[in-house]
Amino acid sequence: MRITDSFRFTNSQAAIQNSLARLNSVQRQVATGKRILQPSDAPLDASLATRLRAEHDDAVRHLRSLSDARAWLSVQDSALQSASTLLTRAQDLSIQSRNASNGNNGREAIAAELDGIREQLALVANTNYQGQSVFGAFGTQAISLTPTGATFNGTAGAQVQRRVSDSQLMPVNSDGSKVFGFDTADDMFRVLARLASNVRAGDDTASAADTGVLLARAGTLRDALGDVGSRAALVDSAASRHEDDKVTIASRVSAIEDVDVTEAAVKLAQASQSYEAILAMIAKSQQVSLLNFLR
Amino acid sequence: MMQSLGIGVSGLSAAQRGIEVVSHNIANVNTPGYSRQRLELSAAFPTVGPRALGPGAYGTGVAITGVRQLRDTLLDNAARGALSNQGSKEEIERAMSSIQHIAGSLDDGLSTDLSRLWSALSDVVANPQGITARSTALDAANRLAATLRSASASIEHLASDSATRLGGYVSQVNGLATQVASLNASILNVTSAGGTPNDFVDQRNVALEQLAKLTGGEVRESMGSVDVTVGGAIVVSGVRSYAMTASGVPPVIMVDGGAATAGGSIGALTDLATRGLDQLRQRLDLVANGLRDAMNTAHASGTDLDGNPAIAFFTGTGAANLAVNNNLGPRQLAASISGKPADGNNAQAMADVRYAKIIATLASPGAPTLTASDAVADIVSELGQRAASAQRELDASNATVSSLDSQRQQTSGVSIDEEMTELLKYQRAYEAAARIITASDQMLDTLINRVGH
Repeated sequence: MRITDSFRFTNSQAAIQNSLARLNSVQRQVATGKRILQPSDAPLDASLATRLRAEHDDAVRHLRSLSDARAWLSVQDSALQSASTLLTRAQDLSIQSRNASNGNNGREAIAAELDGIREQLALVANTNYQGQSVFGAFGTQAISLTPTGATFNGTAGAQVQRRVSDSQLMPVNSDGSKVFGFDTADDMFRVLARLASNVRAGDDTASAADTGVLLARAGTLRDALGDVGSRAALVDSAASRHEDDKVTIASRVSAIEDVDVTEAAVKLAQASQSYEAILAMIAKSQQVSLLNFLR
Repeated sequence: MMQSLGIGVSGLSAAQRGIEVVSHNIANVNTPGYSRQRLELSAAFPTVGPRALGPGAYGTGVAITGVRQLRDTLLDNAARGALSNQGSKEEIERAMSSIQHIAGSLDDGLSTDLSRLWSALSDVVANPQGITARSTALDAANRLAATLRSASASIEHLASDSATRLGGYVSQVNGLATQVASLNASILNVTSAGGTPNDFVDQRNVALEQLAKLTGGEVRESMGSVDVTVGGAIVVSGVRSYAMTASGVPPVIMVDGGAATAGGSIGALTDLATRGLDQLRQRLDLVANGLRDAMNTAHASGTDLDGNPAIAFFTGTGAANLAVNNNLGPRQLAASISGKPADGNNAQAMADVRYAKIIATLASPGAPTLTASDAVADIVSELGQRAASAQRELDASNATVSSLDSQRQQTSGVSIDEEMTELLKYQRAYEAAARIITASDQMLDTLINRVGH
């Protein structure tokens, strides 16, 4: 093989260029901490990372939506607990009212307390979360009291939904028309109002019947409470699943995109060493030619 | 006696010419396309008289037969082919490496904008009456549309940049074609006058290589003159050259009024304009139109904060024109299905467009088969792959060019060490020939001045 001067210079130049390009690429990796800086560095990995990042964003979005769902459910849980307490008290009172030792005054006091319970129950039924009624979907006031009971303002069967997972939506409200018995002839407020007037009138037979109805309404409340509890459990398990997903996906993205710092540092050292070696080699070898020896 | 003087003089002048050729080589050591030259010598035969025949016949010194170029014409052809390939790969690589960023950077691009929109809509679900949540959702939609518009704008920018480059290349080709034709004329002149047009041939070779890189033109040599054809159209024929033009969108290459299919840089640029960029443009349009239709359909089934029916969410056709409806303010976002302001179920339906297969592919434009995120991830991966393979192909092409170049250098390149030894050789020969003349002179001196005294 015949070697010429320009051939040697071109080769040296190419060697310097290649070595410098390698050094530059490793330097960029170390400086940015990223293995993939543009899609062409690793096309399939880049696309996988894009997909994973979208999944990560999904998990974050679900977690936000779940924490909102949890707040809705816990507000209902405490509301239903107090409603339950109020109903129990109302049942006790109705039994007391049938005691023969009660005078007119005693019955009036019991009736007044029953009216009070009805008003408190109305407050509970109108519980809001962030300005939205939790028992009367898409309104602010689930019920409004009337002298003989209450009217339901919400839409029966309407659902306020939150996303639990990619494939699952869950209602986070409770249907107030069911919970408070508006789907039956005797809703809680109507029964309480009637009971109070029966107690005032001393009609023990009628108030005994009302007590029975109250018992049934209390059963519905307990069912609603159980339903809210089981949905809260579902929310918690979904949240912990998404929390796990979030961490797993983030670590997968990092494994795909991020530079292994130790490896990168070693590569950087290698690249800069080989660059120096090439420079030194060229500086030495290009000094000599026949001209140095001709006199 | 007089004969040896003559032989000495022929040696002197041969050595002198030798040194001149060496000087020419050294002077052109860095001239691109230069092929080293060698003096061709042969022994001069006796012309007339008894010395031409019979025993004891000898020659009359040295004769210069010519100055020869050391070059391999097969390698020249191969180099032109490789250069045409390199020209094409360079253009493709340039375009692909700049266009791979149109989907945005990896951690903040089209894909992130999509996630932002879903997340903002999901916040509207949680708080359907919140004006802030509603404006944030509209901002996210605006940003997504802006990213798609800017992706489309980068493609247009690349297209107009390519058109400018193409124009520049075509005028270079015309200059080179004129140069080749006029060098053809000079070479014919020198040859017919009995000379050796070595340096003109080198210059023409450089011009032919540039032509090959730009157009992929093929070179046919006959009787010292070359013809160049580009995709069947004649660009140079002997001493005549024909003008190349590029016009229209996508550009059409014409030579002397007839259509020509160019290779090389020009071929890559026309191909990019007619196919490569257009395909990408269509894919972005499919994403933009798919998103627009799906979001508009989802939005249409809702009512706004004031109970009015929904208006269009996105407007505009194609990625270049996608925009959020101008008349859509925060209150006009139709988040409710029931018509009640506190109902966010339609916002949920809009956020759920995330999971719907809404983007059609080029293969089946009628039937959407991809979710928006998958379509974006596909574009990212395809652009990345195209940029990576363009880079690989360019590297391979560069390697071929430089290996052919080094092979040519082996034959044609000037080596200073070698020229120095040639110089020494001719210097010594000159000294020796001069010695012959001195010796002849002394002998003549002996004969003329000393004999008979």
